[in-house]
Amino acid sequence: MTRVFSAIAACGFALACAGCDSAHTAGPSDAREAMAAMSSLGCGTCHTIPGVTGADGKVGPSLEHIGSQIYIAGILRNNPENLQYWISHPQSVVPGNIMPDIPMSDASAAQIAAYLETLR
Amino acid sequence: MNGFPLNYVTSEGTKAAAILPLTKGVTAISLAVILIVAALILAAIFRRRAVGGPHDLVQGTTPLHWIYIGTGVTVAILLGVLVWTMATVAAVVQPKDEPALSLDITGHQWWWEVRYLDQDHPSNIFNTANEIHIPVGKPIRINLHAADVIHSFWVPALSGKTDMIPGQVNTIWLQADRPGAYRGQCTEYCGKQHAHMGFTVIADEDQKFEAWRVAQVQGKTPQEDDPSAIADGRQAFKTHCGACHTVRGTAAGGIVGPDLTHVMSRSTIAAGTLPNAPGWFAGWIADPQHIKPGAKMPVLDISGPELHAVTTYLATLN
Ligand code: HEC
Ligand code: HEC
Ligand SMILES: [Cu+2]
Repeated sequence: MTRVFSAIAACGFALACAGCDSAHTAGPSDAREAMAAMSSLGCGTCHTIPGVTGADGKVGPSLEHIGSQIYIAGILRNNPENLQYWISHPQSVVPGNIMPDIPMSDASAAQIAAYLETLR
Repeated sequence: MNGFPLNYVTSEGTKAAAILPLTKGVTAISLAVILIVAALILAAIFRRRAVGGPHDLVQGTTPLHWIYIGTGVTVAILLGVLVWTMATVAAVVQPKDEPALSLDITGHQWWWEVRYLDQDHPSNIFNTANEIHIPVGKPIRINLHAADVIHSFWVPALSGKTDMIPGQVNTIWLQADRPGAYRGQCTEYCGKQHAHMGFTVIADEDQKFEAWRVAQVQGKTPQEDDPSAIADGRQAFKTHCGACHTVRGTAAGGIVGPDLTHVMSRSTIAAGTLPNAPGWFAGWIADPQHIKPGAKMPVLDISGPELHAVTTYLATLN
């Protein structure tokens, strides 16, 4: 009887651990939030963005290697601050380009920038 | 995308409520038939012949009477369902009260044109698309048309399906009993983007509906003091989009695509395909063929600044 019990307990433990494990491998929560923000803001209608479901747009440049680019939009040096600024105010950097100023919180913009910097 | 499930097992409207027992009843009968047939097949598979060979196949009586019994029972049930169906259909043909509102809805590949009619006040007639606002608790008459091929109009929470056939007008009615947003969908295969041909029925209390209607009747006449970005956008819109789209009160009067006079009052674009938010909106205009390949809106030959001006202008059409 005790054997059966410990077997069940062991299974339960293994299952529980499988649960916490997968939560870790899915990536830090910041990255997940950045992906969720990009998917709800519609960045993927224009850009191809790894990790964002359905983001296979061909209107603007692919962001697959944006983290290793030297310049953003060929005009700003690529660093997290500039990237964050571009994401929320592209119209003040390159007026009249077709990427709209999409309303979003500073926190989201920072999260998105941090995630995009990891795409190397 | 942006859909809620098309739920046909609960009803939110008078007409759907009348049809629902039939849906459930026929489903139950069908399930029972499947179970009986499956059980008989299983029995036939597992029932072994007695040891000693095939002689027990030879029976004294022929099993023909089982065919009469089976056919008889089936015919009786089917006749019962037929009577039930006819009675249900007869009960929902006409609403109990005179419809409070009449609409013309036209299926296009792959979007819905919605025209609000008003016999007594022609100035109250207006067009919109893909989002149908109705007052709650009142029957609405809908004349269904088709512009190109056969489509089918279905809002499962409110009503059954009705085909939209070119050259013919099918008139239906529906009524929402509770305020809410009810998803609808084309349910007759109509070409490449059939699956992206959704719409929403939004049922509101009288006052809210009336406010919406009054706002929709208004056009968008250019103002003297419009900022230049908006005036530029309007000009570019007239040149590049006006052949297909209407903005009432301006020179843009095309009828190939949805009326955009109040496009910002809708919560989705491209027939329920994308949320109506700045990123999605600009992405749609820049590359509609990527989002809905085959859609009757082409990728336009328009410069970046012009396209940006157009989206800036459209953002004011609320
Ligand atoms: C309407 C289409 C559109 C949408 C929506 C859009 N972008 Fe862009 N984006 C562009 C275009 C076009 C460019 C190139 C602009 C330029 O170089 O001047 C661009 C450039 C960029 C760049 C710089 C790329 C490079 O290679 O230098 C980044 C990063 C970027 N976008 C991120 C985003 C994010 C994040 C979102 C969502 C919040 C977004 N974009 C939404 C069209 C769009
Ligand atoms: C050749 C005709 C044509 C031209 C030109 C055209 N469109 Fe369209 N447009 C359509 C059609 C057709 C649809 C419906 C597509 C669908 O949902 O399948 C549409 C849909 C739209 C929608 C979504 C409306 C809604 O409520 O769902 C917007 C916004 C739009 N067009 C904007 C524009 C703008 C801006 C331009 C000019 C830059 C333009 N269109 C040029 C035909 C056209
Ligand atoms: Cu269809």
